Amino acid sequence: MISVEALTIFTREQGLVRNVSFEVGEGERVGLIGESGSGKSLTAAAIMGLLPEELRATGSIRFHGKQLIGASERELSQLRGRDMAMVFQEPMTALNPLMRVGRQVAESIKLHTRKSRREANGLAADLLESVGLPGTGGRYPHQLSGGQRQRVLLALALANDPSLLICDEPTTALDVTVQAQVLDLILAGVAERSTALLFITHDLAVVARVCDRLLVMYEGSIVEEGPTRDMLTNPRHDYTRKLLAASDLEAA
Amino acid sequence: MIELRDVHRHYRQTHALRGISLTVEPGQRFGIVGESGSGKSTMVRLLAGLDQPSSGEISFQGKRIDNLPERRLGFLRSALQVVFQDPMGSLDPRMRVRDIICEPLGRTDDALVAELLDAVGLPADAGRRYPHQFSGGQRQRISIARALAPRPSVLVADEPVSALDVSVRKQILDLLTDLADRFELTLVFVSHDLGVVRRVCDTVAVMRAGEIVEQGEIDDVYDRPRHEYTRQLIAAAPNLRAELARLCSIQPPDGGPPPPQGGQ
Repeated sequence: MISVEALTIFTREQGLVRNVSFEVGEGERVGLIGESGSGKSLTAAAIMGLLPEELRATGSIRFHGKQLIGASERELSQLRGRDMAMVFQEPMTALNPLMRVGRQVAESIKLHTRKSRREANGLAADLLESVGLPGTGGRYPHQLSGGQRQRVLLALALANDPSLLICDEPTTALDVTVQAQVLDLILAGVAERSTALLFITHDLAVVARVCDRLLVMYEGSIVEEGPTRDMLTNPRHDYTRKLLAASDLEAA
Repeated sequence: MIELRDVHRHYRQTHALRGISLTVEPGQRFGIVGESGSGKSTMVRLLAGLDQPSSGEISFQGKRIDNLPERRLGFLRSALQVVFQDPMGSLDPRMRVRDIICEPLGRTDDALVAELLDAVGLPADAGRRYPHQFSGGQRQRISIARALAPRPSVLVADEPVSALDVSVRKQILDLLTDLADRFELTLVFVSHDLGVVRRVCDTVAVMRAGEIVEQGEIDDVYDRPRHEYTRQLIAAAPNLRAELARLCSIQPPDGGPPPPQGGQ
């Protein structure tokens, strides 16, 4: 479904992502783990066509066979929000503060489909209900809690049944009791639509819960990959081992 | 060492602390756990004498601090030091590390800088460099060294590892534990992360909406929580060991055939 080959991202002075290759199949849930600065978020931004202007990317990103590197902004913006969608760590930066949240979801549906306003409004209300926010369509983002905003963003991301959902640290900024709830909603949302998931995090307990397969990034390269269980019980690369040893901070 | 009695703090619209009472004994490693809005940050400000309660009493080493004017809080400023979440935000980028470390003293003492850099595990030449030349974990070591400079008896750590990568968190937590032993510090450790608190503390208070819902010895509270909210927090905390156990029970090893289902 999406196939990344020899992806390299660099500035004038230095390489940030080096020769990264991986695939995500339909409905698959893949975790991308690594420290800040390891290149995980840049890799996601390259797939979404959201790299900052001063960065260049080479290699190949094929999405349903279509080459995304070098694709025009117009082509990419048609894909974004329809076939591929993203949930960020900080929902406030991704929501329009001046628009009621139900309207934001409905607008995204109207932008990518031929549905009427009334149909789009109805679908938006259903989507908000499916993420546990019935009747909140009339609220503005600042009237919602962090966890509620993140659920609105998830409803927005899933609005057009994308084939790929990218989540970048979606629960890191949330309270623990809310985290678990948002993870469950992400899992249910992708399962219902057979949406593939690329899940970026540094939290191994979270990827163990969410992902079938893991990619480990270190200093701009993928250093190890495999099924979640094998990687977490029998890590080969030093960095993966170190991360696993460091993650042994348990409450219970 | 520290005593709070029925402490309330009202802000214009919110009642941030609703009758907090607790005692931190000398040498204790006292954890305060809570989610956003629990009042833990308000508590840190009150403990550090940066804010005053609306009602109630706060004593430090037997002396009331809740009603003292700023000019009479000098003793508290050296005896109680705070390490904050974001080391970059609290380190002046234009100052050399040695001057940052000695900031609370008002004069630079090279022997002390050498001793403290060594204590926090930084190389001796770090004193000549600037904060931006260090990684996040190293910067947090610098702010810990600065906190130790006035030889405090209490160290308050407010989410000290929340902004750090997972692989360095444990090192900083272990450093805090070692330093608490070595310098005979009383530690007040504030965090939203239950696992982190368990690694460091011997006693814990669980806060919600401005109240302490439960407090006691850490193993008692975590292993036998009495309050429903504590149970919820523990159940919701990400738990790698439990997730691995679940994975191993549902997935066959080495990609072999799945285990036979019941009824076959």
